[in-house]
Amino acid sequence: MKSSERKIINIKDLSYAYPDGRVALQNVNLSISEGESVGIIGPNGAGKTTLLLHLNGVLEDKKEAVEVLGMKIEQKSLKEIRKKIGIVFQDPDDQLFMPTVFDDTAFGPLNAGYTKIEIREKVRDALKEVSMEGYEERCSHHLSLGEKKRISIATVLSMEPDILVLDEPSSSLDPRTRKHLIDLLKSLRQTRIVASHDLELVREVCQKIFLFDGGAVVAEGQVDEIMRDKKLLEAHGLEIPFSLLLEEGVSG
Amino acid sequence: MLLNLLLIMKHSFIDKYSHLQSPIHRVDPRIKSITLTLFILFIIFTPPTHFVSFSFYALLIFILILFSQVPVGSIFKRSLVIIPFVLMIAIFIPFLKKGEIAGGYSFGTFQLTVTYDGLTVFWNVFIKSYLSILCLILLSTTTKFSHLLKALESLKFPQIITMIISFMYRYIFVLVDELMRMKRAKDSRTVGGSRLFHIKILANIVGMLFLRSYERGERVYTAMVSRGFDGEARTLGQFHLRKRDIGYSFIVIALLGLIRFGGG
Ligand SMILES: Nc1ncnc2c1ncn2[C@@H]1O[C@H](COP(=O)(O)OP(=O)(O)OP(=O)(O)O)[C@@H](O)[C@H]1O
Ligand SMILES: [Mg+2]
Repeated sequence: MKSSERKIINIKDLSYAYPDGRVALQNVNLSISEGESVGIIGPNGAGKTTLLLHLNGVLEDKKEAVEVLGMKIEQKSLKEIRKKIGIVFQDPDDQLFMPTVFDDTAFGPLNAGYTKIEIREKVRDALKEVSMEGYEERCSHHLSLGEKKRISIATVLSMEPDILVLDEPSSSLDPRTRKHLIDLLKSLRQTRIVASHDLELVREVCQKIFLFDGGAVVAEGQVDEIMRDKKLLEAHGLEIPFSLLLEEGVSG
Repeated sequence: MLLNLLLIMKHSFIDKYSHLQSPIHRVDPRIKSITLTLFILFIIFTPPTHFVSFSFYALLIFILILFSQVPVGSIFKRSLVIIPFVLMIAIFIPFLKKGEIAGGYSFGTFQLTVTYDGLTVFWNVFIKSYLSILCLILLSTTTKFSHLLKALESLKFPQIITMIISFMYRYIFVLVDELMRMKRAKDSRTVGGSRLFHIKILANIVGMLFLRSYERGERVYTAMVSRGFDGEARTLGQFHLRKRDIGYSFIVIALLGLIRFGGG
């Protein structure tokens, strides 16, 4: 088997209902290959966040439907899986819970049991990767939103995960910070999964797309193939990205 | 209003002077905590009639404050927090009837007298609490809050307590912001109406706040678990004891001993 063909995430027939009875996912089938960059798009309430929460087993049931790096999600593999898959949550105030940036970035590596010297190195490298060197001693609640978003990514990069998962990475960022973020995401080498309704960002960063609505996968395919399908996008509350329209306008 | 006050505190209160670079700021936070705790113990166990000792304690604190470069005025302002407590004690002094009478007032048939013993009790509480609070203020204004937490942790303070304080430090303003947003949303949609109506809505908002805080807690826990949290909080000790730190603590302890026992 070629390594680029290895299925790093395999989801078979996953359904999930929240404790209050709300069905958030229905018969989801999806697989992602190593090194791929995948966009999960869909309108509000489509089930994107719920899907991401299943990737590392933080939601209690239906674990057997999800396979990550060849491991079923179960009690004995959880630790290993959580080391290999880094999830950046939508709200940086949830992601950054320690008093300082350093503590937050060191949290994952500390739990993974690295030595002090290794941890310091990982924190330094992770902050460098998001261009936030020198922020170690800052308090998270005194940072701007864009800074928080970047540090959030660093808290996961410091664990050197094989798979990087981001939930709405660009929400409420100003254009320049958003551009930085896109460049950053493009520069990373890991398998990336980005849930967003910022189709411009998905278009720049991802190669493949899964379109969700009502908790189910309604379409999947290459980025441009899906993004050109005006009918499909509009049927599910999305719009063709402006950049694509511009290009079409110029070429046609 | 209290909320506004909290918001103003956000950027200025807790860590306002902790970034200064004085000799006191540079002392290892663990050493600083231990030394100042010792200082407080000395203060507490000095008999109230040793006036000379108390003057020297005050002098020592004053010198430390000068070294710390924190404005004396701001420390004085913060030290006023003890006033309500001291007043409480003062109210009960006249009811301590034992001993020689120092003075009194009479309101018709009702006589209010103050005894020397009562005064001593008052002095005892006042001077000890005031000097102790000065020590605590010195500690908190010269140490970054996150360092103080680390120091408590490495001094084997119960982890559950340091974690709760740490979350409080991190999230209190996030929650206050949330409350302010809800209140603003309420204000912009409810014009007029009876006072009872407003109180009812306010009660709703408070309920909402609890709910949201709980959900925030769940989301934070999810984020922690996702990064390998298994119930045990681990932190990286970042302090290195230097000779200077030990030296500093010995000087203060020696001075304390001298003040307390030196006079014979
Ligand atoms: N904790 C919860 N309890 C009950 N229902 C929930 C909970 N979280 C989400 N839901 C519901 O599950 C469905 C899917 O929500 P999810 O958060 O996965 O959507 P999403 O695609 O991430 O949306 P958005 O783009 O707004 O972030 C929604 O209908 C939502 O109301
Ligand atoms: Mg979401």
